[in-house]
Amino acid sequence: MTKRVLIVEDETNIVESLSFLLGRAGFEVQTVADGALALDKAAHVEPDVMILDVMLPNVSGFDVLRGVRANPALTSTPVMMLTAKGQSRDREQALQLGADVFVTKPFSNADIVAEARRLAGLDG
Amino acid sequence: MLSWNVIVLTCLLYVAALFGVAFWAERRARAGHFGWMRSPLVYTLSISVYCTAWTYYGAVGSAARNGLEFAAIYLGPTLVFIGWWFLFRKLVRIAREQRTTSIADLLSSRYGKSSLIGVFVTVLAVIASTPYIALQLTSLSLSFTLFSDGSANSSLTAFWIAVGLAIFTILFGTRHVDANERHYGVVTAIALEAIVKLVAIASVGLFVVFGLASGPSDIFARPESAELLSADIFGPRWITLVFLSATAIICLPRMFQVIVVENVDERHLATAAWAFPMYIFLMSLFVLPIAIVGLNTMPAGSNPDLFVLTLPLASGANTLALVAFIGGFSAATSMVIVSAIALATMMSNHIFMPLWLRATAGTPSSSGDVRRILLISRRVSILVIMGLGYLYYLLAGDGGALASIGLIAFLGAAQFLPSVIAGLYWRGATRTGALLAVGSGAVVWAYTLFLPSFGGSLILSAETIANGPFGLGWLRPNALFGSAISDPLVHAVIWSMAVNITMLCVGSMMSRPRALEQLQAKIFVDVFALSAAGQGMSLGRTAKSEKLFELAQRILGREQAGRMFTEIARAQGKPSGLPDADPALTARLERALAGALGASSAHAMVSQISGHGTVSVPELIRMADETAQIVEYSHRIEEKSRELEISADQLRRANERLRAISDQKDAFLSQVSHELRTPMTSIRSFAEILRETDQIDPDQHQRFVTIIHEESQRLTRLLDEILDLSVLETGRTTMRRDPLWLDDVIRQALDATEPLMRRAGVQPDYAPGAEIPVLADRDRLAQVFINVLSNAVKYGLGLPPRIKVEAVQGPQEVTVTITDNGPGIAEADADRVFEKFSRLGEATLAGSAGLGLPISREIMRNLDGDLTLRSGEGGACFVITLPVVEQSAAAE
Amino acid sequence: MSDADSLSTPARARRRRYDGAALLPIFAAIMLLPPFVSLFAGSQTLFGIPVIVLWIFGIWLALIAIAARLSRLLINAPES
Repeated sequence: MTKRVLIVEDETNIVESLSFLLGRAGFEVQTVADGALALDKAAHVEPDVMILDVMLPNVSGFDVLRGVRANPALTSTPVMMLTAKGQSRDREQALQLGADVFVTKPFSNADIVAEARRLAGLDG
Repeated sequence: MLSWNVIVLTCLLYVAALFGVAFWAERRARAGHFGWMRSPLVYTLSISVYCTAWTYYGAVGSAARNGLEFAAIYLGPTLVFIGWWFLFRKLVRIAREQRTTSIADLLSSRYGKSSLIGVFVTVLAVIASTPYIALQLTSLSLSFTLFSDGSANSSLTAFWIAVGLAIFTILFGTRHVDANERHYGVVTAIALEAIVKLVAIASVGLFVVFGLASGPSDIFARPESAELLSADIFGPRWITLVFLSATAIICLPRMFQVIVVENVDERHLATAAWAFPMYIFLMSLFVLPIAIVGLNTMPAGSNPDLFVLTLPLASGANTLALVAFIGGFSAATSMVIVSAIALATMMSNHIFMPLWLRATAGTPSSSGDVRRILLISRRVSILVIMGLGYLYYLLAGDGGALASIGLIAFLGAAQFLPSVIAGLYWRGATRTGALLAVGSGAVVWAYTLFLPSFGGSLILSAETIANGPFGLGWLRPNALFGSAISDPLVHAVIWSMAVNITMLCVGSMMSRPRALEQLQAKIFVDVFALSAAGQGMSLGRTAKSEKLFELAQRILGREQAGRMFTEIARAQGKPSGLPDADPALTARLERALAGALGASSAHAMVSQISGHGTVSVPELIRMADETAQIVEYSHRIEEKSRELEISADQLRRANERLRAISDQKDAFLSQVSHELRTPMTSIRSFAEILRETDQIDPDQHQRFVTIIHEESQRLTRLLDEILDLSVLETGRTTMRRDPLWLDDVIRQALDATEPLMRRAGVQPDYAPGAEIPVLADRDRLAQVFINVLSNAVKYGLGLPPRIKVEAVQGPQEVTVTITDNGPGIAEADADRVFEKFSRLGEATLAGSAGLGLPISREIMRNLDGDLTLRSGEGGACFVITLPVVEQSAAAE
Repeated sequence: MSDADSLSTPARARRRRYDGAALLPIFAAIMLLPPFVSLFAGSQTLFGIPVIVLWIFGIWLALIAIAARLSRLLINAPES
């Protein structure tokens, strides 16, 4: 069974690279660029893994994460947070809000794919 | 009856004994055996020179005329002595520290070492003392005549007496150059004479009370007693006499000499404070009984001034009469000797030495032995004083009662009192004030008392004395301005003192003291505080040590100068050689010289080689009134704390600014990091994909490479923009100011953005108007237009998209407005537009890091213009302003 | 006596001596100058001696005695 991944990210080039990588790794990839639309999209897609950028237009990644965890259907969805700021304060906040993994940009492709697979339960 | 020969022989023997005692005392002192010579008893006895022949003979005369009035002459000194703690203690302390040699020296030193004051005081003192000395000669010759059978020439007797006294005074009074050094021989002889005086008068007194009469009650029962005591003498004259005698004990040159100059130990004053009143108490105890018995038993017409002698003689008590005579002889001689020493010091220090100094001013180092000159001038002075006294005696004869002559001298000396007291307690008293006070007081004294006492034979004629000069009644010497004071003495005291004190106050307040005067005033008034604090104060001046040493040798002698300089060198920590010449050495040398020459001459001599010096600022501050000091101090502290408050406030604000800047910087770095990481993420990711993927669709390959290329360009641009902004913000860049036509620049910008606009489907609305000249950097200005236009394209387009560009020349500035028809920018965001990395709305323009508008604003500000956002209806309206340029400046 | 008292006593005693030294001549002047002294002028006698004579010489002697005592105190007190 194919696992679904939802990428919430506003930088189109990064979305493109992530889509390429995860698609090649066997995921069904869905994307959304706006934080305000991310929650609806997630509720609709019901992804197995969410990749969530912190810096989003209109609604920040943290707020999206909060909404995800507040939604009973999404409570247990694994979330990988991406940030370009890389401050430890952001990492703490993300983990506290229920993110499973916190990744700082620029990332290593192999790491991202491995983490996504792990979160999706593809590696044993 | 005692024979003339016995009297003369006794006198000679007595004088020989005095010489012997004086020699012996001087020898002991030279050998360093001071013993009792430095005892408070000898000091107290020496003060008894106050009791002169006037006291000895004249007090009985006065009592025989006016009853108890004579006592006033002793009560004044008693009051001053029991108050020693306040006046004499200070005088003695100052005199010792300043090495004062006389009252003239004291005043001259206090008022800025003024030689003029020294001269004034000396002249007045000599004038006032001359009759007084003559008075002693008169009483001596009177007493001698009493024993002669009429064959003796009284004026010849007086002459030999004067010669003898002069010799004694020269022998024992001018042994040292340093007048401030004690005259042990003289003082011891005076002390001996004091005992003789007291024993003599007490013997006569006891003889009269218990020999001639049967006890005091017998005497006071006699009719003369009631007659003498019934008159009410406790009026203005009584007060005047108490005041005058109190003044005299301070101001008479000989009293100043024995009390202040000859004092070796301040504590001796404590003894003298009660012992001297005791002495004069005993001296006056028998005055009234002798007077009453004299009046009662002696034939009418007898001179009451001689009762002390004539009573024992009339009773056949020859030995007692001889003792009484010797007592009177003692009283007269001791007064003359001490007066002569005191006056001679004043004359030589304040008149002869300054003249000599002036005469040799050009050749300070080659002129002979100053010590010899000094001694000679002092000896000559003694002869002059004796001569004057004798001359006066010859001229005035034995006119007038003894007492009135003494009182004239008292009032003359009293003219120094206001200046002395003010000098000790009022720092504001100045040289001008003192000169005016002593001068005017002396004139009034001479006019109202001294000259009239000659009864018309000196300067003032009898006619003038009776009716006033030129018949001006209101100027009569005995009734100035018609003042109805019947007693001439009281009249003279009131007028001279009133004028004296007024002139002192007015003169002091109207004049400005020189630096040296201020310094001396401080040293005098605050002598106790300064010596307790151990602070020496000196003028800032100095000279070569060698020159100072040479000067010291010439005046103090080789030995003493050597000792003094060695001591100072030791104190400075130098084992050998001359001490370092500093202001303190100069000041100390001047003080030492003052002991020999007086303050003003010493100052003049030292100033000849060291310059006049100035009072340093710290000294001036110390001299300032303590209250003023405290006020000044607290004022300064207040000012300091205010300054501190202000700087603390400034620091606090600076700190806040720094923290804000630091926060901004943190935020900026965080933003920069974010902005850099974003393109980097894409670059790294696609690079990894390309590296790790073996088979890849060529199209996809091409696309990924293009993305990497674009993102690297974005990265480069971003770095460029950051650097650009940083340079612009710190103002390190200089913009070119070329004359440009605004229209050209706008067109350049429109051309540059043409592809962007075409893609967005917008046709810019621009109608060039009149030519507008500006001074600017062409590329930078174009960059601003491009940035704003791109921004409008990115964020501000409505449907259909429209951008309007307008250029207007106003009176003060040139304005370019770029208006779009987009959603506009909320008022709250108007400022955020120009913040770094702020992006409004969701759209992101590829290739912009959000620094375009901040950079544009900085460029405009660097060009003396501005970039602002005008809020208005419809879309955003950016306003670019530039300063107006004169038309001609732009023409090229 | 408390500590504070024992500490201040020498200072207070010294103060009193200074006051005494200042007041003595003033007191003496009042006693010996009119109008006070005039009260004793007249022909009354005491033990055969006129009262005014007794007064002036008596006050004189008293002043000497007080001055002697005061001087000793002043000279022995350490200077403030």
